[in-house]
Amino acid sequence: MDLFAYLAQGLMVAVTPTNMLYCLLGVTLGTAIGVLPGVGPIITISLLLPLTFGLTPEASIIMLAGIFYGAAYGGSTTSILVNLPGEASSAVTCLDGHQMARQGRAGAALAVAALGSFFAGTVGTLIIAIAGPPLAGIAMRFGAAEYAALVFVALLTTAAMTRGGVVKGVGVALLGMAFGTIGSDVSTGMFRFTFGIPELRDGIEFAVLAVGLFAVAEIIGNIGAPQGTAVSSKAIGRLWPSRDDFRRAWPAVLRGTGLGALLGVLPGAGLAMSSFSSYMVEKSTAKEPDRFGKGAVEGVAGPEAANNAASQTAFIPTLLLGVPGSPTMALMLGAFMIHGVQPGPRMMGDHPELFWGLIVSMWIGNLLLVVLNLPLIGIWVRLLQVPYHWLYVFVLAFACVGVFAMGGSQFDLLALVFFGLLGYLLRAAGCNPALFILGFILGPMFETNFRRAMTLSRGDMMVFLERPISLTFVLIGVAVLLATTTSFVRRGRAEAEEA
Amino acid sequence: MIDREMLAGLVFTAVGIVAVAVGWGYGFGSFAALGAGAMPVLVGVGLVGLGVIQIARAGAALRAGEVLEAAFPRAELRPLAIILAAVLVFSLLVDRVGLVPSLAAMVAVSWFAERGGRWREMAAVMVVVLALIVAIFHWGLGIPFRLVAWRF
Repeated sequence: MDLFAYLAQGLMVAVTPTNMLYCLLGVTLGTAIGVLPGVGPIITISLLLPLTFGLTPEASIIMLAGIFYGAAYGGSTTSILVNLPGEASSAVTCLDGHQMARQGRAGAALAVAALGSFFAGTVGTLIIAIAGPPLAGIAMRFGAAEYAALVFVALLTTAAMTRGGVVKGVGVALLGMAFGTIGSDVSTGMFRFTFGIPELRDGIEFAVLAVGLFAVAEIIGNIGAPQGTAVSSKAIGRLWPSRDDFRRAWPAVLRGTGLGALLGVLPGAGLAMSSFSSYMVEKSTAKEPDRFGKGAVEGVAGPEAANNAASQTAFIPTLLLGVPGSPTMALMLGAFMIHGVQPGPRMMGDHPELFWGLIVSMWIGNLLLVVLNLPLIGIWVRLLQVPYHWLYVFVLAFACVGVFAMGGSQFDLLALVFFGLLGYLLRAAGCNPALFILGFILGPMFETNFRRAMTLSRGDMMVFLERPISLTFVLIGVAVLLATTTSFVRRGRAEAEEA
Repeated sequence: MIDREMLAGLVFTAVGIVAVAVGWGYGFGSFAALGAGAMPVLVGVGLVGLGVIQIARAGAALRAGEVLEAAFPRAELRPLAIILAAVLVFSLLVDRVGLVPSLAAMVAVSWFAERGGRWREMAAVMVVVLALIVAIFHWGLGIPFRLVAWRF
């Protein structure tokens, strides 16, 4: 069995002191920002992108990944204790988790969430390790036509699934693609849309774009918005769940893990949808559905397992195909590319230490989260008392200095002002700036493969429908587009957002 | 006031027109050999198409008497101007006076993005933020910033 050899190799990378430190740093930061409303993984990962220039690829990816799955843990803590979801993915945990806290069972709810998440995270990591090699083998046979079709479908489905409607979603993704063409053309070397500015010849600096679009623009939007008030609960109670809690929780954890693992792979579904779907499944299969909303432990266990499983398996399309299924994953892909690593089917062979090191570190990170979270809950809750006024000043200072530290260039800082304004404009138009990032990252990938496929087929567009794998992708895209315009998915999405 | 839906349509259309107009000059090529301008033109055409649909929809909603959400609520204009100004101040100062004074100026400007900030509290935030940033970037990551400089 080769799997153990690979995992052993990954373990060697993951347990070096530096990498362990960055893993710890990542999950701690992730938990902290998961707790804080208004600061999410997207902002934090963008803020730290400029800093990863100085790190090894392993350390930076391990840290950024830690932020991503750590946030899913931290979000649940505040949902349960103060009825304030730190992240959208843990919004449904409020429904029953906070009720449990009001009944004095906060400790049990937190423990179930943490243990369920840990179990789901472990399964998710195992799925990546087992499914990785065969999937990479299939993806190796993809030609330019398959890749172009895959990227197209991933963009289309993600754009169609996000709020605001299909027209706006696809539109803003196209905007990102348009900005992605700035700089020199890969095939001809011609400078496009540089308008005589030499700094634009290498294209827009991804880290500056991300910081401007998320950190700066997010601050502007959040200052205007009214702050939510926290409803605190009294005591945490004893941590260990009762025998009855265990009996009810474990089947929910199993179902949530399966559902989350599946939804995490699909483009556009995301963590929020996985936890919401799991809640719906638990509620509709329960013998006494009346208990839900009144502190049912299944309502915590299922969704928490689902969002954590999804946060692991979301790495599958990103790492193995090089095609991110969500905006946060697009940021991760950008982080890989900053270090000159192109994720995709060849990554496992070309950079085995990075691939397997990341996989093993994700498992270690999940373990750290359980150990970290339960005893430190008091500290996390105190974080909520930091006023936003203090927080945004610090985030803004961090953003400016981080961008300046990259190359000491004033142009980058002026670009930061521009992208802050652009991000605000997108928000004002009700467009999701995260889709812009997805278009920006996937655009060049689509262009290269599309042009290559067209050249190989001598200009025949039918090539995308004649090759079976490519045809399958196109059909999936059409199906999703049709499905999102029907009432069922729309209603589900509306409920997911309200919850 | 312009509403959100109309703004989205206008942004799509405007960027689309620029992409097509400028992109066409880079050469579309043929379908068997797409040129450097092909992608900008295709993306631009898509943007113009979606923009026109969006504008038509927003217009129809307005005529039907729907009240759409305003794109630029008055409450957001103050943070918008002040936050962007704060970054601009930092970018203009950092090369000339060094990290610490320019950061202090940035904190001072950005403090007023939200109403109700007290002067004394601002001083406290400034000290904390400066200490944290210098600790993280200068000592922690060892990036050789000029902490204080004087170059005009």
